[in-house]
Amino acid sequence: MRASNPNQPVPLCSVLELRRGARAVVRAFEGDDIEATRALARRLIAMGLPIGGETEVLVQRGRGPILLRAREARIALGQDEARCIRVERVAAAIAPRLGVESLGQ
Amino acid sequence: MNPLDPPAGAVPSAAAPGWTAQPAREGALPQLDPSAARATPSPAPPPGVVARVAIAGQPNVGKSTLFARLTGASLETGNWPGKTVERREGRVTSAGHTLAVIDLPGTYSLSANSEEERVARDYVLQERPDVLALVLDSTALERGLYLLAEVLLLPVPVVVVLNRTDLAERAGAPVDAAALSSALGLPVVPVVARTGAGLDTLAATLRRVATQRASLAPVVLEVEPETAALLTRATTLIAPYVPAPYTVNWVVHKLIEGEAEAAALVRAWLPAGEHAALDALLADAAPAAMALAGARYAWAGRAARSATRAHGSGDRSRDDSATWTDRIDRFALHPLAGLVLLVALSFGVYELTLVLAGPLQDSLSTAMEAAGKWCGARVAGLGPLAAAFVVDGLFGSVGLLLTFLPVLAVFFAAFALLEDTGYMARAAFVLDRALSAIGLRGKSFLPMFVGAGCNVPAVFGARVIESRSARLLTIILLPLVPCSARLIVLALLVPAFFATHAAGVSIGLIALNIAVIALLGLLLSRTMFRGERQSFIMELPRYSVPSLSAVAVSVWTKLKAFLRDAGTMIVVIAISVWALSVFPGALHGGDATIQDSYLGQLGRFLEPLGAPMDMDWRLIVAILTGFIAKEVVIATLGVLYAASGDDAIVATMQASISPATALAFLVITMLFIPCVGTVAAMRREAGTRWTLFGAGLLLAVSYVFGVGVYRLAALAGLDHIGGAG
Repeated sequence: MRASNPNQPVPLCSVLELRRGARAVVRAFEGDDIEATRALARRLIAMGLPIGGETEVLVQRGRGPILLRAREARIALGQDEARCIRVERVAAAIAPRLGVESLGQ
Repeated sequence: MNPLDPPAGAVPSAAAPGWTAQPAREGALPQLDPSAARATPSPAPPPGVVARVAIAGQPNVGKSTLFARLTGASLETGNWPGKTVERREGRVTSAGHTLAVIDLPGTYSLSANSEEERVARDYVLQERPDVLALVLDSTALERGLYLLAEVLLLPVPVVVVLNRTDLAERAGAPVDAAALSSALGLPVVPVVARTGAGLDTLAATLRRVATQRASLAPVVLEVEPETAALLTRATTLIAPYVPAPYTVNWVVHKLIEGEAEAAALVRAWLPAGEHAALDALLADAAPAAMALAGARYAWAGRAARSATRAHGSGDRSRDDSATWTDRIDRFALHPLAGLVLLVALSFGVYELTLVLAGPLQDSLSTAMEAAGKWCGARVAGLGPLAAAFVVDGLFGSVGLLLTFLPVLAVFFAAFALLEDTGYMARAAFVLDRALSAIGLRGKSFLPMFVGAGCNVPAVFGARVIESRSARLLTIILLPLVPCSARLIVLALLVPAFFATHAAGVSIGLIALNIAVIALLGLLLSRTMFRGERQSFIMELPRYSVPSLSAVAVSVWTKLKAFLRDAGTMIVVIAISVWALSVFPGALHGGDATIQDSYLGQLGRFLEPLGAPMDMDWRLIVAILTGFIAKEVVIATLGVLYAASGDDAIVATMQASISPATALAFLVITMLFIPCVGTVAAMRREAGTRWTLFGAGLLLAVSYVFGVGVYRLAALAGLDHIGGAG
């Protein structure tokens, strides 16, 4: 389940590094505690955040929890949990609603 | 009914693997044949129930509303044996046949991520319901179908319930139930739980499938060759050893997903010689787990697309309510505005409690008093002890129990309303950061909110917290949330001793409670609960208009649960304390005064403990009776200071104790061991040992803070009788 061209690794970042309104595709779940990360991955996948799934950052403020849109759901996550989600950024070109989203800033 | 031995052919067997290497062979799915109903008539129904139906679904899909609508007044609640998960059962009648319906807890998946998920899947595996109704939200189809992919690994016929079809239609993305049915090979019933539309068809379908046990469709997942090979390897390894009631398919999937419980089960089943093979398999499984989940979503996506394609709707269209939700959230989730909204809503709820529950509470206790006197007069011939028992013991304690109800009803209703609209999850989001500093997470706010009204339902409300350690910590800290009963004591005593600084002292006392919550939270989360990583993962549901019938059902079932679980203990202990306050004096037929009673003797025995705060036995006895209910403290003071009426109590106390002692008394009352109702609730939710630990902790904390505050006040020169601050 990698990007289309395996020879050219796509730079991944944590979903925590994205700003509000940004879109991304989930590529991996990574954490220090392997067992805990797998359990976290199972939960997030079942809630609508599978690898390969698209997500959008709805709320991201300081050190508080973040809010993601995942398929039809909104998922709130603590910073520690969000840090484990490795994503690939998606260009904002296909997201005309972005302008509306950023009004709230 | 003999649900425990389903026909063997109905179970997806290990011979038919639930996956295929690409490309998919979807055409091989067995379809539900409607003519089968006529070919094999269902057996003659035994008297009573013909079949058992389990309702499953993800949280926020409208399952509770559906269940309330479907079962109506037959709904009964309890707990799953040995669990703190609520169990709801009811009956539904269709064409003269009665089905027993059980509501499984809402779960996102069927792994062992939480107690709810364990309860749900153990029920299906071990109790083998005749049919499982899986509720899906039409506006979140893919995610619901992901759960379906897991459910279909279990040996149970499934009926898909497509809820909120009206919302999907309004959003311009209607779901074609017939198309979905043929894509899945399962019966699909569209319903609108909020209005009750489609529920008759649902009941009929459930009855038909339950009596035939015909609707089983294995999920055919498209997986990459290496994953398929791993699945085959796992199946070959474990198939000979998997005992009933487990199915090979289900165990294989959970094993590959890396679920520790499944791995432990398989290890126990396999002979020691196969353990090395199992370890090798598990070592290779991690990437396959992701691939498997991806394949399930791909399957779900294909089914969802085939059900929406017919209407040519754009797959990314968003409905109006989603936009509304975004707009409200911009305000409700804002760190400042959200907090203001939260405080305003909380005050609103307290106002509502005062306005609605207060008068009701007063008239209830007046009525109970009158009824007690009337009955007391009937038994007066049996002697003064019998009369006193009826008036003060029996009616006093049952009356006490009843006066809980109005406050509880209002709080339950407010909570259910706020939760049903979708707001409560936002409150947890806003407070998550503050609570995470003391070892809790956002979800702990939900019970604490209720605790400000009454601690008893708050303890039950702690169930929303998934992690056991966070739930225990919340339950231990909850009694420190100052409930309305303690505020009544504050309102009476603070102005009497601190006329000029009454507001400041009251706020200080409440702030002290909050500070102690923070302090104990900090301490406990860094000692006893150290290493417990509390996570915060929570879905924020779409805002919606609350369903009044679901709110009513929620209030009613919670009140019943309160009476059943805490009621007996409250009455028994209240009567015991009453007995302690009249014996042994009452035995000799003399005047049963509290001064010479066992309770009075206990107070005198404990007097040395009160000495550092200049407290005599009367204040100690008053604190002890606060165990029945915090507001009882005032009544006890009235008896002990031989004064009737609040003003007289205050005047007498002013003449006999110093402000510093009064302050220490208030601090201890605010922090002391929880009232009996709370203890009963804690015992049920956390077990006896944790309850004793929590009560002991508060006993120590209240004493230490009582003495400490007295010393500080003495330093300020407040330890002289009559010297007001």
